[in-house]
This record gives sequence, C-alpha cells and structure tokens, in this order.
Amino acid sequence: MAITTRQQDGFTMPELEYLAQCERVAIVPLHRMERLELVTGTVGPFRPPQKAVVPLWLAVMLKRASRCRIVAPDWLRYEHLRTLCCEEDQPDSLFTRLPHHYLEIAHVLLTNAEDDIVDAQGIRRLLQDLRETRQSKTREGLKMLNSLQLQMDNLSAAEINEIRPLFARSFDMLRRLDALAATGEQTQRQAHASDSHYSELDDTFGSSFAY
Amino acid sequence: METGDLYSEAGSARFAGDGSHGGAMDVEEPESSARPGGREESDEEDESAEDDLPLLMRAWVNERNAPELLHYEGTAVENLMELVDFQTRQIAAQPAVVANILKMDVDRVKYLVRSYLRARLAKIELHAVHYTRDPLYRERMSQNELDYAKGFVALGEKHMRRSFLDQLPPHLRSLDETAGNGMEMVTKPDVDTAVFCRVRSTVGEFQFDPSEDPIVMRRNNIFITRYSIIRSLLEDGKVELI
Repeated sequence: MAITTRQQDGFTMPELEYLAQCERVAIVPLHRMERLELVTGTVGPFRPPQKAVVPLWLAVMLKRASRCRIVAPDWLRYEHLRTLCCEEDQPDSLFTRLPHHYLEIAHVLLTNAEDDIVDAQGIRRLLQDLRETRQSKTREGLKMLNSLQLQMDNLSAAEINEIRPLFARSFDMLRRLDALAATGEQTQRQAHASDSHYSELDDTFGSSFAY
Repeated sequence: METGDLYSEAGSARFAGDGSHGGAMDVEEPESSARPGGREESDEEDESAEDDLPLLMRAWVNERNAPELLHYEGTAVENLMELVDFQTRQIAAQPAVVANILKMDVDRVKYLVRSYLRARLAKIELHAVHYTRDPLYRERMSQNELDYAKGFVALGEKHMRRSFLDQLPPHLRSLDETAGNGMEMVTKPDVDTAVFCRVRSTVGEFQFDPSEDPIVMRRNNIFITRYSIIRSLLEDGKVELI
C-alpha cells in the first residue's frame, strides 16, 4: 500500500505541521551567517541584531542551536488574541481572521520557543478558548449543511482537517438521500399511477360483486 | 497477497525510494544556475511564473484531497529533484551548521516529492483498471506511473485467473462486466465526493447548481461542496483543495 488508510482520509497532524513549517517567521539572529541558497528559497544574510525572515522550520532549527530568537508574529500576542476571543464569542458572528495554519504555528512556537513569547501561559489559555469557541461554532454550522455547498470562510487547516470526516460523510449521505428522494418520488408517482389502475379494476370487481 | 505486496514495494521504491530518482527523470542537464528564487513575502499568488516548490506543495494537497487522479506535475518534480541533487553535492563542502540546514532543506523537499508520488500511487492502485483504460487519465500519468498501473492490473488479473476464474465456465470469467442494475466491475472514482476548497483568485458569481442562485466566490472564501462542481475551477487553478 502506497499510503496508510489514515492518510487517505485527510492529513495527519505531523503532515499539517510540515505544511505550517513552510510559513515564514521573523527571527533575530545571534550569530553572523552568510546568505544561504536553499531549495525552499534564499535566506539571509544574517547580521545581528537585524531581523531576518526565514521559514518556520529553519527558525526552529536555529532556535534549538541557540543561534536566534524568534519574533512572535503579531497575531500571537495576548491583546490581539483577547480581542479575537471577544469577537469570536459574539452571537451570529463569522469566524475571525487568523492565519491558515495558526494552530500548528502556535503549537510549534509554544513548544520550541516558549521563552521568546510574552506571557506564553496566557496565550495558551486564550488559544484554547478561541479553539473551543470556534469548534462549537463549527458544530452549529453542521445544521446548515446541505448536499450542495456550505461556505465557511477563515476556517483554518487544522480545523478543517478535524471536521473533514464528519462533514464530508454527512455531506455524502445527504447527497445520497437526495438522490434517493428524487428516485423515490418517481417510483411513487409510478406506483400511484398503477394504484389508480388497480382501483379501477377493484371498482369493476366491486361492481360485479354488487350485482 | 504476497505477490501484490512485493510488487507495490518495488513500485514505491522505483517512484519514491530514497530520493535518488530513476532514469526517466534525467532528461535534461542539471542547470546549476537555475534555482527557484525566494518566495515573495506578500501572499499574492502570481499565476504566470510560479516556483516549482509552492506549485508542487499545492499539487500535493490537491492530490491528497481530490477523489480522482489529477494532472501530473512532472516538470516541477524533475526540477526539484535536480535541485536536490545539486544541493546534496554542496553539503559536504560546508561547515557543520550550514550543512545541517542544507540537509534539512533537502530532506523536506524529498519528503514532499515522495509523499506526492505515494498519494498518486495509492489512487492508481484504487482504480487501476479504469485509469489505464480512460485516455483522460492515461494522459495524466507519467510513463513510470502508467507502467506501474498496467503491471498492477496484469498482476491482479493473473491472480484472479489462477486462483479461481480458470475453474469457472468461460462466460463467467470476465472482469469488466456491467450488471443489469448498472453495477460495474471496473470501479471509478466518485467525483461527487465532498471536498473543502479555497478560492485562490476571485471567480465572481458561480452557479453551484442550475436551480439555485449563483454565489459570489471571492479570494480566500472557503467552501465545502461536491468535487464535480468545482472540478473545472480546480483545473484552471482558481480554487485549491484544502
């Protein structure tokens, strides 16, 4: 088998993290280093204390080797997340705007560069709140599912991956039921037509009995 | 199925083994100067000259989510593998810190290519007979993939024939009949499966269903819908699956 059954049903968490690690973050290098020509693009040159923008995986690598500090992205600040939490909590609100891989990026940064993030504990708590609010909203959204389309803007990669099995299967089931209903109506109509035919026969029999 | 396992192992080694690529990919001379430039920092997606890496990244995600086999991004795979070869040769000459970074970089690209090819192989195995017969899909496969698909079909048939078909009356031996109720022995991908898609460039009003009002599709909108509805938009690169 070329890929596992688990992988045939959306992505695995490590795969999503792989995708998220291609996103770019700002770092403050602690050592000088020349420009690097990578397959994933050119990075550097690194001249402390000037900021540089690198892919997340490289930032984490350099961080582990204590060669840089990671600058937490703007959306990962306490105040910003708190505003988002409030907005998210409004009744009938849409999903708030966040990076497509916000959960994965936050997870990578919080595990690998906790000391570079101001109030990491508070941010963890807010992210958890945000996630739960969004999850309950998504569940509400399931009610609106039909067999044609449903718009759900700003849902992130991890969130989509999480609801994929449930939503996709419900969607397919609705589609099948709709198709059945359509053919059902047809056969019912046919059945109805033949019913009236029978009742005519019944009438003749009935009348013959009566006489 | 012992033989089947052996074959698929050989197949995946041929396609995605240890990153060293097979003969079919060595068509062009490696151009040491040609390398994908750094990605733009703005999130504007440029249609005309897209780098191989983001392109393959998207092709991978699309491939993993689409119910049917998609167009093979052969050029991107070849270019990237050439670059990987080129970079691998550079590694030895670098100091340890840089060498580690380059190695990680190369490994990440190899992983992407491998996973992409594996995702395709998995799909090919699922509907091998259909894909080898339909000219649309034959065209979407690389030569290697087509050979693999044919081999896979032949092997399956041989196995069926040996284990029981040869003992059945001749009129019951075929493997591609369509029953009276429309059930086919040759399985096809279900193109009406639900997919999640994101709009890459504003489409404007789009009719999801002839009986419904059109819906405006703007950049970054996300929809869950039937694959068949957005199939043409996906081929044009206007939406991507997520």
